Amino acid sequence: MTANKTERLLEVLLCLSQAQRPVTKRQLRDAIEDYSTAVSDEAFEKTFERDKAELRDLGVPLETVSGGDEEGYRVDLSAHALPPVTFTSAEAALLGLARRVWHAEGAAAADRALRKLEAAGVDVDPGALSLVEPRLAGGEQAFGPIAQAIARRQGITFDHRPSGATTSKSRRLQPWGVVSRRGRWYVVGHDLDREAPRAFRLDRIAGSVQTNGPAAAFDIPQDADISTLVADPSAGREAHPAQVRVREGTGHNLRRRATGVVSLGQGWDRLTLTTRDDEAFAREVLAYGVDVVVEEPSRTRELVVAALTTLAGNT
Amino acid sequence: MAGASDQLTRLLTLIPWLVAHPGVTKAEAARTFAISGAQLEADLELAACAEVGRDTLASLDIDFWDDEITVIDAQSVDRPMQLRVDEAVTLLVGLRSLAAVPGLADREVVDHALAKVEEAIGVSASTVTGAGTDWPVADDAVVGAVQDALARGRRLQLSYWTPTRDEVSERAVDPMRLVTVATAGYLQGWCHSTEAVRTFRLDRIVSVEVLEEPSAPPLEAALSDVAQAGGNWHGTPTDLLVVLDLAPHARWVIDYHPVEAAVENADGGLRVTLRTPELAWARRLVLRLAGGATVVAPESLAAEVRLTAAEALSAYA
Repeated sequence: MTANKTERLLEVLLCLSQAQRPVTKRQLRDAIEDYSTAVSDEAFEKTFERDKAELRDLGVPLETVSGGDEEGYRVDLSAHALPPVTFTSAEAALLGLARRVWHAEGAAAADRALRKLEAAGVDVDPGALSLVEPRLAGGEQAFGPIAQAIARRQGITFDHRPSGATTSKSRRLQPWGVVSRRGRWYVVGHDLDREAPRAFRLDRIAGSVQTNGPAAAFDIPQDADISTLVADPSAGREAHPAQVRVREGTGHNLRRRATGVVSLGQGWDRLTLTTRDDEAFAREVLAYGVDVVVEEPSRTRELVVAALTTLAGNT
Repeated sequence: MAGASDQLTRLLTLIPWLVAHPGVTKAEAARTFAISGAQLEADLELAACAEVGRDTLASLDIDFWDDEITVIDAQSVDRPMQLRVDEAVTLLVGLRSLAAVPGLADREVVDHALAKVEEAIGVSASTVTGAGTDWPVADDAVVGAVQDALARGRRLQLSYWTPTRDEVSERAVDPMRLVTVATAGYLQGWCHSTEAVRTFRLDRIVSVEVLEEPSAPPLEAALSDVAQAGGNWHGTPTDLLVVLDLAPHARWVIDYHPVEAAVENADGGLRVTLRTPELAWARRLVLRLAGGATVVAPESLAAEVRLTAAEALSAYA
């Protein structure tokens, strides 16, 4: 039966896309074998309604055209065809590599996308850089449903584990966009419970993303700047000078970034470098224990001394 | 997508794909679409049999009687449909993910490819992937060297930093694979010093040289799964357990380190049990948390932290 149904759907599609004028239901019934052999008007109507819905679900632009004596149907495939597109071989190789990001739920959709591009004449090389394996940090299952929901302006619900939490919370969101920061992906939108814009990391979404409520349920605010919701707190800060004393043969990660190294003798060097974040720099210095002493910035020095005092038990 | 929808979706791309690849063999078509030869035959049969009207007003004409396939008349199905949003997003997310790894892909090429995919979707792509991608500030020569060695099958000489010991060691490595997760890159390969497959974080490679010797990992060398391996990828599993009380602001530790157990404390913090190959790793973690973690066990770690902190503090006196 499957084969018959696919064949019937293809025939409807061919009929509606080849015709010069909108095709009436009566003409369709006459032209499609499955329809003309339907046992009753009612059976035909039922099948036709289901077929229309199914074709639209697949993304076929099936339009109803009124006017004249009778309602007609039309499919303009060329208006919904992939526009002509050319990729350089370097770009096409990247498309092949981008495909390899998907290991589970996204893989089938990514393959369909590449096959369509190939059908439009793009030469995607799947073997290119095959020794490179890019991966998402997680949350692969969330991308497809969220993208569909954004396109349909439909609400979503999902379970999300906040940073540092051991359990997940259910969230209701009107999604505005999907955005990445430092290789991590976030969904940004209007949080319906907190009634405010929020961002959620996709690799902390547990289980599946469900759509919730009708389509066209909201508008994405014109002034929504979704990238600022996941902004890096240290991004806007100025890099300022830092100076540390480092024991010889240690502090390798600091040495890599150093712009200047001066030997102080007695087994110590002085490094010059820059930092954007005094707190983060203090934590980095602390991890080196007795091998690194911070001189500048003074804020980092204060933080390190305070932390060491606590850690030494001298509080 | 079930049966009929699946098949029709495939046909609507398969037919224009065949138009774009005249004379392609059945084997290649089946391989490209990841279907069996029998399924391909069934697809072609169905497409060729579909006809509209008693006098055949419309039908597809496909020659597939030999080993090669040629579409003679594809009618209106001669071009692929636009990318659906879920299809387009896989490419946009994939391309942006490549761009997040320093040195992996030429930023300009990624930008161009992104722009072309966005154009090909026909709907606003900006809401799908957003505008906030942070591009890495600098390209990393290490990634280039690793890619070069992989492509040409050459051995690598690495200076590799091990943070737990704050130590740089020299290693000859036969590269096997480059894995990237978020912004981090990992080289997996056969390490001649340890005679085992090892995973190296690219940002810990201090310097790298592509050697003239060919890369020849032993046949039995098997790649481990970076994603499964957790944080201590080049450590050896031991039974060393560390118990810490984390203050509320230090709870993030559980997001970055695999924990054996995490129990809520009354103060809003967590009591966590971590497994570590080296006590030095735990000492660094506790120091870096700047008082945000209290060592519950072992006592030797607590003592080591106190001693280190006291000695470090003396340098500021």
